[in-house]
Amino acid sequence: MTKSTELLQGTVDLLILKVLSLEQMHGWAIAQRINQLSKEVLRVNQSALYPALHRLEHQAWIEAEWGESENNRRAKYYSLTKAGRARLNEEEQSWDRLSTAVQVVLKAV
Amino acid sequence: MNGVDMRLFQSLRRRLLSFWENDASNVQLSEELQFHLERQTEANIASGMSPEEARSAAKASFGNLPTAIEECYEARGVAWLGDLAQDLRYGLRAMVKYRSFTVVTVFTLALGIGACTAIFSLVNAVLIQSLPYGEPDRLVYAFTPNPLWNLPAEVFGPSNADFVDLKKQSKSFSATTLFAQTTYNLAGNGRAERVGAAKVDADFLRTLEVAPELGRGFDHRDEQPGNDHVAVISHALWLTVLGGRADVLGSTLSLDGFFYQVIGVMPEEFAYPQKRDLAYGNGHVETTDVWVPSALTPQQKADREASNGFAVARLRPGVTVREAQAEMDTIMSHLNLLHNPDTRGWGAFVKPLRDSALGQVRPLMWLLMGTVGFVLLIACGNAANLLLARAAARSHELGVRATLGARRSRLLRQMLTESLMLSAAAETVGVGLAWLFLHALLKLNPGDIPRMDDARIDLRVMGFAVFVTMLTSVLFGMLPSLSATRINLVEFLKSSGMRGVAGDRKRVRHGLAVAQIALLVVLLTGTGLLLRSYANVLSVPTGFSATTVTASVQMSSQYGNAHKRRAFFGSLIERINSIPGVQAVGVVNELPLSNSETLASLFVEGYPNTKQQLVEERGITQDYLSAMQTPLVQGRDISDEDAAGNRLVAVVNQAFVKKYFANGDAIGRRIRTGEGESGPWATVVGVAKDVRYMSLEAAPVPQVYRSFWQVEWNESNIVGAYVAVRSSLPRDAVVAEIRAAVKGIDPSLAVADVHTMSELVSSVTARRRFQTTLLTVFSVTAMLLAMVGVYGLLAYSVRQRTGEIGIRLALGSSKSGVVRLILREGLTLLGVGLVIGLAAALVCTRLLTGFLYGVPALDPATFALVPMLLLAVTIAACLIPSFRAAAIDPINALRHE
Repeated sequence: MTKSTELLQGTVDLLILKVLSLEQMHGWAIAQRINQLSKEVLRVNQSALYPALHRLEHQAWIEAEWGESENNRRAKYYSLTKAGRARLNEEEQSWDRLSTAVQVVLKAV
Repeated sequence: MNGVDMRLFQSLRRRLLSFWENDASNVQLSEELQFHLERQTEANIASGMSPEEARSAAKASFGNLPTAIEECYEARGVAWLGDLAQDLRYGLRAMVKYRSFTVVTVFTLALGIGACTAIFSLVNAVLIQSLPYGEPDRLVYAFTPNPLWNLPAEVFGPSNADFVDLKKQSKSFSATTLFAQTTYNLAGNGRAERVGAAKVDADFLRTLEVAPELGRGFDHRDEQPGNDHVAVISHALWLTVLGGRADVLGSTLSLDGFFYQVIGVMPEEFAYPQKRDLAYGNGHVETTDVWVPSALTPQQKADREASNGFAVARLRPGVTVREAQAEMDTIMSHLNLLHNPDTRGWGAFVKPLRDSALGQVRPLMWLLMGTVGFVLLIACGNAANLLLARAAARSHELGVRATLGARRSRLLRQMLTESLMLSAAAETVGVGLAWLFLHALLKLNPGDIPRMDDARIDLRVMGFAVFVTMLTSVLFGMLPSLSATRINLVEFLKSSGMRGVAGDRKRVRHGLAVAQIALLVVLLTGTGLLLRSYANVLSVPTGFSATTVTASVQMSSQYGNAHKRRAFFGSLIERINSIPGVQAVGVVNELPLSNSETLASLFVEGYPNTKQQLVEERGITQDYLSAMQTPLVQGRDISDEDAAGNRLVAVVNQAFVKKYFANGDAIGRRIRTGEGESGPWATVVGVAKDVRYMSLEAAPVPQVYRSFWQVEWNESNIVGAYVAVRSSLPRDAVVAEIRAAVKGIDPSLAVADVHTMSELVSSVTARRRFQTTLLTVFSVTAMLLAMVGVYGLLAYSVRQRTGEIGIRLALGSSKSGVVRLILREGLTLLGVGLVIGLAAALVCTRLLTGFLYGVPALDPATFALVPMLLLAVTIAACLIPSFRAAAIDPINALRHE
């Protein structure tokens, strides 16, 4: 197993929104996709993933519906709402600002 | 809806949905997590693990499953709703479990809330709901008082000429109207009936901003003399006399023998001016049923001195009463100079219509609200004490919950939820009680409180009840909740969880009982003073017989000259006198307690008379004083010999003698009334006992009785008189005889204002009876509540001290010693409560001064009786707990410990 990094709560929200911006997915697939896209560096702990999903749904940034999974099982699919898309935009910008700032500090010293 | 609102709304909806579908969404959650586990297991197998390995790896990667579920649940934001549901369920269980506690608390609070709500519904109808005119707050009376006469400002309506000039010159008013009150004999359906009427100008309805419900109001054409035989009638008159016919417009009314064409019908609630609207209006007019044009002639309009009307004006928007007053002051200071130089001094007084109608009842309403407020506070005190006692009983349960990690805020919220539930239940019962109270209240209606009959439990009253309930639950719930949740865990565990810490709770409970007693003392003292006042009023010597039957007959215009009037009353007396059983019949122009008054200017020979000296003047016939059983103390009565043309005579009352004939005999002295300094002298031939005239509570003032036959009736003013009959017949038989006698002489004349003198006394004391009854009922209720409180406190204290009392008894204390112990506890509470209460009463009873009669606000008897009464009831409340304490069996008591 590759070394993975624990994620901060806010970062999980950002990643979930980003991943869902492409297509609707169920919980397991979201975790897989994050793992995959980060070249197996980022691992989302399931006990953090589902509370995050429910919180985002409660804030109406994502919505859920039950559907058929790839292995023919009932699964809960999440997709981004219009408000969620706007939120993603904001989060991305603020993340960019943060990481640039952190980079600048790290390089400068 | 913008984006944020929409989100808020959806979030709320989801919260509620997930709350109601709690179970369903839990199933969905576990299905979702289950799917995740299985999908991970499949993926593990696909990457080459054995099925067992795959499953446990999947589980390991998941982390803590219960925590995840809990966090998902909280993420949906329904935790507080769940808590609330839990608290409600728990509270309901507690209410059912402690049934007697619940019943006592709910009933106690319901009494307080019910009393408050009922009185508020009264206040709402009388003070808050608006008068049936457009924007009534902008309506004012314009009076033109003159200090020369030493009479209340509201006696003086403007003279016609003053009114015309005021109307022309003032800029403060958007409309003004002048009207005069009168009564008519309305003939129809074979019998005559008296109706209250107003002679109004064309601007009357426009100023009040009311419109007829049928037909039209008056315009300037109706004011032309000759066109003025038109009338607008009240809704009530339309229904009763004209049968509510749709074609009423154009039909005719016979008023005092003249025919008037009906041109309009007013809406149901409109009967202005009513008796309460004008402090010094026409006493014969209860409500106004007919409005006719005043149709003043140019000569009348130019009359600067005579005034028999009242002016109402509507303030322009933005103009205050004070500004209108200032403007009117200026105008009147000019108009004053146009008056007769002898009577100059005319000024201005602007008074809001609402104050005029409600001025007298407002203090009463506040008194009642204050009283029920006290009752409510005492009820809250009881409920708080009961809750504290129960909190002590529950300290074990709360201690355990606190030990298991319940936060204080959580326990506090639960306790407050419970007290809110109790008061919600109390409100339900209380509104029911309020409905009952209100019906009882309306039965006591003294008849002089405006719109009291309109009191209803409406939406605003319900809102008030809810507000009072919330307030109550905070008042009685907060203290016990704070006290109960103040749990010292170390102490709790040290006492091995058996007992709570009761020390400071006892102090709180005693404090509450003391406060209740103090409130009660204030209430009882106030009630005592009112009861004493009422007794004083009832024991006032009225100066007349209670059983004399009286009725008034108002002349119509056919009786234009004095001779015709005298002839009418002469034959009326003759007819009634001939009825067997009649002992005395007399006629008088103004009857005591009948709300009307005749003042005449007075000049007394040999007395330093002042300018514009006025005296109450009555015209009476031979047997009037005898019919009223008003004794003569000196000299002779007026007799039939004192006819017109004979020597003028007068009988005066004792107050007159005291003021004008202080030194020397009254008989034979000479006075002049009504004609100023040039009129003929009348000789005093007798002195009669004082009679209470305007009210029972006003001291007798000087009065002059003159012969009815010798009084020069003022053509426009004096239009009728009262007949007084003393007999051995029942009241109704006398009334029937009077009606028959009047009808026999002239069927077009109406007999009205039929009363026995005791009925008049009863109606003038009705207000006082009303307020005294209410205060007494509320005070007794408060006393019962407070005594239940003291009883409950001591009973609880005996239970708490069972062990201590057992030890005392075991160590040789006598039973009476134990009784004394408990009595001492009760009496200490009483003592402290009394001291605080009496101190408060010293201050509060001063506010009552306006309600008292013949009793000082600091009446020593009341201030002595209240503590004695309380001492007696407190001892009664202490007895049962004391005897229960004395009956404690030491052995059992020690085991109990």
